[in-house]
Amino acid sequence: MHYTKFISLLAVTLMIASCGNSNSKVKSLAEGASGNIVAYENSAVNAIQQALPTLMVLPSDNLMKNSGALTTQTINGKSVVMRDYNKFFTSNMDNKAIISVIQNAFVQVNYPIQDLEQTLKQLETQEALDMVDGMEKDAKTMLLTVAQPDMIIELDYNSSFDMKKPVNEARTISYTLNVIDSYTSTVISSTSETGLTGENTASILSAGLEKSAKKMTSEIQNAFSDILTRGRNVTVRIAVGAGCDFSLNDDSIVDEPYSDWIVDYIKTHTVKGAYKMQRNTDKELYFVNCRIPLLNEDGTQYGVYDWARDMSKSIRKNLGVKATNKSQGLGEILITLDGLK
Amino acid sequence: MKLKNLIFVTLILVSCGGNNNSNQKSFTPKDRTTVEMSESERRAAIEAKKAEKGVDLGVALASNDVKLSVMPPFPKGDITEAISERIAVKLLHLTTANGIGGLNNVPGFALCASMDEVDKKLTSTAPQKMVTKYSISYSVRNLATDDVYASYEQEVTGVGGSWEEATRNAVNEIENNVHIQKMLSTASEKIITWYNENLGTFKKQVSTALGTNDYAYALALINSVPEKAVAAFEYATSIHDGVIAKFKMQNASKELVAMKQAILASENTLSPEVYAHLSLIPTDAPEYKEALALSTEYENKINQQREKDEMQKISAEERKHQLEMAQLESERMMVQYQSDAVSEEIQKLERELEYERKGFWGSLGSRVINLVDSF
Repeated sequence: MHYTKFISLLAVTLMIASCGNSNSKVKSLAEGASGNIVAYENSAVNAIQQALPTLMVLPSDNLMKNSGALTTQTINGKSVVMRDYNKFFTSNMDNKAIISVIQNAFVQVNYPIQDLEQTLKQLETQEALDMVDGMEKDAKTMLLTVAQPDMIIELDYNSSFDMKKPVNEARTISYTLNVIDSYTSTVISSTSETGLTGENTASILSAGLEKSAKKMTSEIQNAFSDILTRGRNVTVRIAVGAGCDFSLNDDSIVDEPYSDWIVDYIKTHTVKGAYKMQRNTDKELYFVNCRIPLLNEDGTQYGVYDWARDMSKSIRKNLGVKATNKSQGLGEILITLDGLK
Repeated sequence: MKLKNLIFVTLILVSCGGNNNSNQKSFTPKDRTTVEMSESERRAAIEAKKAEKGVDLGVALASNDVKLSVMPPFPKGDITEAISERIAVKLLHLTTANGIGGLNNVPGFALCASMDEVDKKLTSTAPQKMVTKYSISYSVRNLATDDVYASYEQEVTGVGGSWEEATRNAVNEIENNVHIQKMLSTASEKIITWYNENLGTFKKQVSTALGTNDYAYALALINSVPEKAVAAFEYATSIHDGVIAKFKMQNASKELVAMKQAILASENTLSPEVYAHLSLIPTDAPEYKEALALSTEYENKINQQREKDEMQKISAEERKHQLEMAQLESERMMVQYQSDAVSEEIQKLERELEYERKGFWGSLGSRVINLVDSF
């Protein structure tokens, strides 16, 4: 018996030793990498790759509450929710482990996603550096200095432990993952599992995700394919700026209300005229599900900023109105009208 | 058979691969940023752009010699002591940036600011941000009469990781603008006009103060007159020294007590405060003789102590330096007297008029002095 064990051990050792690179000098991480930038530059443009949407796992409010990181306060008679993300990460080791498992599922399909905790740290460092450099910052810049994923993977999970059960079945978890487009609040993919059992939270979720990650990544890929086919889905908001002396229902210099002109522009400058009006007031026009092109003729990006730039130019030229482009990210167009030029 | 299978698999692979987007484009970017322009044209364009952003000198102000003190909001809620002082510094910058003569130690006229919270909001972002909006009401006031010469209201918004940080950042939004320039210009002109048109009233205010032996308040009134209000300034200058003399005589006994306390507190070291109190006792006051004797005794004690410590005795140079320091200290003390007197008058006014913002101007004198010291 001992003899058999010894032979087995020797065989395994020899196998391990024979594996790997025949070259005695092991390549470093960088030396092992390969790529061809020329071939890549000459290949057709993939508009998704060009402006790659960032994904980030964010805890749901329910999970924040269960972690003691969500409280409510009354301010000016109104109940408001206070979220403490640092507390979320430090209150429960499982929170971090679970997020790592989800992130790893995306690494497996070559789509590394942004880490919330590191992003928060980076923002803190950036704020400190900006202070040292004496950078000018207005209220809006400070307001936008936050984690801004284009797609949110919202995580919610519950975990319970039954001491009466064997250790490898004692832990039970249920989880829900929603992938949400942060500009349109559209749910791109949703998956949930209940009553998964095992030894610890991370390993149970890891096993559960093996199946659901495939479904989730496939649904995200479908969303990307939809963008490539029908254009990017964005919201368009045209608002009257403070101090502007007209409303959107007033007649413009072309003898029609500003709102009519704006609607006509949107009809003709969205992919196949795709848009839906959601708000029409004297001060604001708000459209959702607007599809805009992805690329210029020369293969360069055409995003929300470019679309808003073109519309602002047209407003200035045709209506004689000063228009400011305040668009953000990949899916949010905002133009303010600041009075006649 | 094998060849057929190979062709079939190849076809499947070919049909599977690649992007489904039929509208594929290659990346051949066009230059969008180079502008054809000669060097001289470029320079001219830069100059024209600079001129666009330049300060409109048309609104630059004449100083009119008006001096303003600054009065920030009282600390309350998210407006902490530190934030209140920050606002004071901002107000001071606004006055100096707009040609106002400078900080007036005596709070006759002040650029005042009150801050009212308009709204508070929280974002749902990570990290969460607090947004707070304030309405700032600026006014230039005659603190002695509570007249408002000009006012302007501005809204500022601050963002931060806490409510206090948001408030601090909102205060940072206070910046010079054309409305503030106009307000200060209007106020300084109205102040001059008030003196020119109300010389009789002004003289009556001063004589009432003198009649009630309120010399500190009388001094505050006459020290607030800007030089450009010629007639009032001439009148103020003509009675200035007489009022000072009466003020000093009135306070001589108080100063003597204060001098004794300063000697006790000095612990055998030279203190300018001792000399400052001495300088505020007139030579013809009954208290002067005692004060002078006390100062001589004080110096002797110091010299004895220095002898023990094998140190040099008080030299003429050191005494001169101390007297210079004492001059500054006595000026500060005079300002304190005048500020307290104005503060008292305002509180009287508050009581009489049941002023709606009761308490706002309370203990004004010491607040102004604290601010003056902090600058």
